[in-house]
Amino acid sequence: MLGVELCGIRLDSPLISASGILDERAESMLRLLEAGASAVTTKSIGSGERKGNDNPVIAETECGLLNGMGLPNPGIDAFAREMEIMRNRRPDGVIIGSIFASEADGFAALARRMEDYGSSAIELNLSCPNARGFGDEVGSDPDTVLEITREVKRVTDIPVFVKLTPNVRSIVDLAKACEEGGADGIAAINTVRGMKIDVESFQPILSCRIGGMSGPAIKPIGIRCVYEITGEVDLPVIGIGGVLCGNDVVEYIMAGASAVGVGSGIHYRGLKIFEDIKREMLEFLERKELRLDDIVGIAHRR
Amino acid sequence: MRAGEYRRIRVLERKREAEDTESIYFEDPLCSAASPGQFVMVWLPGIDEFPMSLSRIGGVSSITALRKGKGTEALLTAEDISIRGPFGNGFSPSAGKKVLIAGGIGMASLLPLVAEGDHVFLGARSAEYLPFVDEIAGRCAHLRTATDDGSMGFKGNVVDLFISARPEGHVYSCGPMGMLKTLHEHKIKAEASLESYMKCAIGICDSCTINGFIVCREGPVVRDLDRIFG
Repeated sequence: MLGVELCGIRLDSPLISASGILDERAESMLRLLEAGASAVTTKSIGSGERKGNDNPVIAETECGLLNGMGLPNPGIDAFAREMEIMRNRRPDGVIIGSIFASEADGFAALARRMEDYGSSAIELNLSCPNARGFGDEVGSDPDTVLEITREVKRVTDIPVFVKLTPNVRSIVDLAKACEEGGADGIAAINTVRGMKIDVESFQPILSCRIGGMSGPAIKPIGIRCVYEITGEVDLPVIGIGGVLCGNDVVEYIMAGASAVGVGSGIHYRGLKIFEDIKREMLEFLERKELRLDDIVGIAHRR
Repeated sequence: MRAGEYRRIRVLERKREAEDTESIYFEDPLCSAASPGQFVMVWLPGIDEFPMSLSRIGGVSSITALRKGKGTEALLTAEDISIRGPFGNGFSPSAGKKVLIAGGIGMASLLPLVAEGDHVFLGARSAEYLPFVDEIAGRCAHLRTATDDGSMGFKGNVVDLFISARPEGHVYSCGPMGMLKTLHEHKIKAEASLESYMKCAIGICDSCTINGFIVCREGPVVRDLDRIFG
């Protein structure tokens, strides 16, 4: 009932776990699959081990989470262990390998490794807002996005998704660059730049001061971005940002998304969020007497 | 006030508990209502943020640190600290007698449990590193100590000391991973509070996860050591 196809990959629901959440170790990613995620996006992996930013790296706000993790990860060599465990324990599991680098060659090398490790697809992190020299510092310029996408596509045979930043004047320009570079799909959005100051101690909470907002606060921004991208670019989009319930998924799909990423929602509703959302989606479709296909991009036609 | 929000807390009092080990006392309504085994994230702006178990829970609560780096050094000299929490799942309540097995500073998270009739097994490298000795002895008659050098009580490992006595009761433990692993190897059924490096403390970042167990959110107390070492 909820199955979708994404770039030739069959998913038993549109619910993919988004990058950055419980996805640095195989045992955690296995739990995401067991909990009902149709695919798992890995933590963004770079060429070497990175500690990430100093604590605090998270601040809860009244409308979402603010994080400044700074791309902590074990590095692509050490990540082989996690991917091997995944292959052995869940050979059927769909893994989207998220990678980050500062230029095209670095992305291409990492993409090759992720493909060798058995990833079903690649996600290019061109949008993290809290790590110097990476993420949206690289991914805000359409020409750079085009060059990186083209180089990765040249060296890999599996589908390539580009995860875009909303912290730009036109996300559509970035999406067009992805299309021109040969991307198979787009993931949107990454977190929105934000800041929180602790008024009791007068201190910015995040050690990196400015971080990225996720959760309910950014859902309208994500919906707008998916709507704009799918109106201009003919690529499947994974809608990400503030998915907490079945109606949130429905809304992203109506905006034109082919699937969604669930991230901070796991904090708000726990790992049961995947099964909860599936039930809520089925209830919606039953009430409206619709199939999922009927509502894809329906907002564009109203 | 929500647990996820920082509170600026005035340090009311300090108490030396053992060599390099001190408690700081403070008032915080959310901590007053915490369960034994829960922890707070202590933030020292510009220095670090790290998890600390509550060692006393009440109108005035406390945390207890072993000095081992710039973070704990700063904590033990601070006049004000910022905290968020309490977080996590603490120890399950027990109606009967309890058996507590602690390695050194691990005793901090078990201290709120200590009651009359309980058995406490406390180990450290030497006598001067055994924390809370007078306070535990004042609350229960059955405190036994183990030290690596034999300077106080049994000479050797606290797990061996426990095995030699083996009193009845629900077992709670906290200490180094090596100690917990030894308990598991001896097939001792015990709840254990785990220590793990934490970043987000709210169950999403995967930095504290051990064998798929999310320490900050599902722990820090694990009900069955099989979940960690099985």
